[in-house]
Amino acid sequence: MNRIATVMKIHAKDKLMWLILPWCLGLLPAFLVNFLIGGIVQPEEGLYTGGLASIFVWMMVVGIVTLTKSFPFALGLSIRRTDFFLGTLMMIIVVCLGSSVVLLALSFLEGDWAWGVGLHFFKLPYLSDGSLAEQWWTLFATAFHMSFLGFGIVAVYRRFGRMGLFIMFPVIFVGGSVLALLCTYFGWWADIFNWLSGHSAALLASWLFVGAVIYALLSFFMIRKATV
Amino acid sequence: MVFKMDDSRPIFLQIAEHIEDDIIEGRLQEESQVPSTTQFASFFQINPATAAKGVNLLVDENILYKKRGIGMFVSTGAKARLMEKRKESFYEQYVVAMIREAEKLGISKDQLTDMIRRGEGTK
Amino acid sequence: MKNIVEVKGLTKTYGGVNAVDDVSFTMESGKIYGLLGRNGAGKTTIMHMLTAQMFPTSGKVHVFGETPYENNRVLSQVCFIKESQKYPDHFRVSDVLELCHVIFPNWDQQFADQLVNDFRLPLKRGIKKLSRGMLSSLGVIIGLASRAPLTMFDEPYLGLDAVARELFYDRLIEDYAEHPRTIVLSTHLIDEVSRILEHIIVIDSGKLILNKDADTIRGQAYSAIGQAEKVESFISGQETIDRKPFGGLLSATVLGSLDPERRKQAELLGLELTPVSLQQLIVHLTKQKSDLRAVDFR
Repeated sequence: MNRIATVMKIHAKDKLMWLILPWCLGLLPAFLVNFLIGGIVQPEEGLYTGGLASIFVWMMVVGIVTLTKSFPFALGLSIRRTDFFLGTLMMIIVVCLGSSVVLLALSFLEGDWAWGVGLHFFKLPYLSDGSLAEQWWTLFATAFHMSFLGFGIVAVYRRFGRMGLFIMFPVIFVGGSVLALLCTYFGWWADIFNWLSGHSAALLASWLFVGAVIYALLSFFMIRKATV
Repeated sequence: MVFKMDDSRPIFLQIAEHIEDDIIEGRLQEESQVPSTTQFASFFQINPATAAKGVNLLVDENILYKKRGIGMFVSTGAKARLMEKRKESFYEQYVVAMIREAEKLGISKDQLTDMIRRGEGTK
Repeated sequence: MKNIVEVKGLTKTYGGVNAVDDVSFTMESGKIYGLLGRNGAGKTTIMHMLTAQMFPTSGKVHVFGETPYENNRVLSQVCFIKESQKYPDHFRVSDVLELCHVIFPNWDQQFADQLVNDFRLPLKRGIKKLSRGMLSSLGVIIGLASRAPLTMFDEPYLGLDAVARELFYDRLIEDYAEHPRTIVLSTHLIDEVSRILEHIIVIDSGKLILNKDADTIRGQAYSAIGQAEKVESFISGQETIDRKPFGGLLSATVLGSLDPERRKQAELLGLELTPVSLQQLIVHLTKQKSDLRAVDFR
């Protein structure tokens, strides 16, 4: 039996984490709450919310949990690190594909009808600009990015232990602060915002995708040296 | 578990002795089949390889013989040979030890023979 | 017989401490091994390195003739049941068993079903809600039904009651007789398993101190009890592994077999001789704090 498929089976057994929690505990309540607010308040301008973000946050959680729980489980049962990585990669791609298509369908469904209460939840300005393919790509790349962001953080932990995280977070924080200071000092902020707003969501998503690929590669090399 | 293995002596020897006892006391008749090593192993909860070692010891001494594809059987004349062997060790193991202990306790030879006669009646 | 495990100079260092210290041994196919030693002796670490779940600081590990690291030819033949095995949070017993069916090439589903019945394991219960004993039962079932050519059980009895332990020994022996394979039982509870073991490896403070056929070890040590000075003269020049004085008496445990010559000598000195069980011997050997050296039996 192909070991990569075996790893995907391990993940598929965990429907609760991969499917039920993100949709039923993440997205659905966010939607319902906003739907209720929309129904009660009936805003004239319509209600635009960031509730969609919940599903992406959950994708990050999925990335975190799978490496925290499923990885030691699989390694303990004689599965190679490489196979675990590739199987998880496949699973993340499948889930992101599925999620992005469903989200796109919901966005299409929402359209201008806005669930009858003026709630704009799935179809958002800027994010839902462009062709259908571009909209799909934005959703897919964002979900993919979030998954490997979570995965990558735990990969650092798995490879370098708690010390790894203790060092990584301050470095990121300090690095980010220095960068922000430099931006302020040299007056780069305006340029940055111009650049950002000058590009479509789909193009920015491509950058997210590139980031995800980098996380994934780094994670792979860290996992290869990870112990239980 | 009915029988407990003595953990201070090699277990294969104890298995061999156990089979010997069964033959001497007639529980295993000559030309009858001996339980398989697997049966010994699960009965005494011991390693099958150890049980096999004990059985093979008796095969080497011609107490048991192997029928290909069927199993182990008790050789003809096994009982007599075993009893002969046991008699030798009986002297070492029991008689000599008894005389030593008797000496220690100041029991005279006459008293000892008396005791043996008295013991004969009891079962 | 073929060596399926070859370990040479294996060392694992954590923060300057040698958890495993220059350990070398081999394991043959089709034998039941005991990896014995006290808690924290380094047994689990050795098995983690045999399965490439941890990396040696130095030394060589070969399993089925190859390095196990990221090697499916090796890993697919190995099943390592450890006390600290992690499971995804929401898994039920049945989920785990179904996955094992996919993971282990030699998995016997019928045997697994029978074992689940024997151990009365609730299939639909979540792993998180299992008692310690049930968790151990699950490990035992996986280990047995996997029929992996190299199956290792690390402290498989935690929380198991006497009935379940007996059941484990029974099923292990029966199945091993029908499907011979290399089995490693790692435990600090020696008395119950010793009769199942064919070969014994004892680890103490990371070092290998005994590596012998089990039946060879039995009867290779004895205790002499009597007046202190007489015992002293009897044991002088012998390798003494334990001495326990009480009053004017001394009980000393020495390595070596009891030949008639020694018996006679003991008798003349008025000493009482008692054989030492395998378990007692290992307890003595691992009790010593200092002066650890490999034991060499004749």
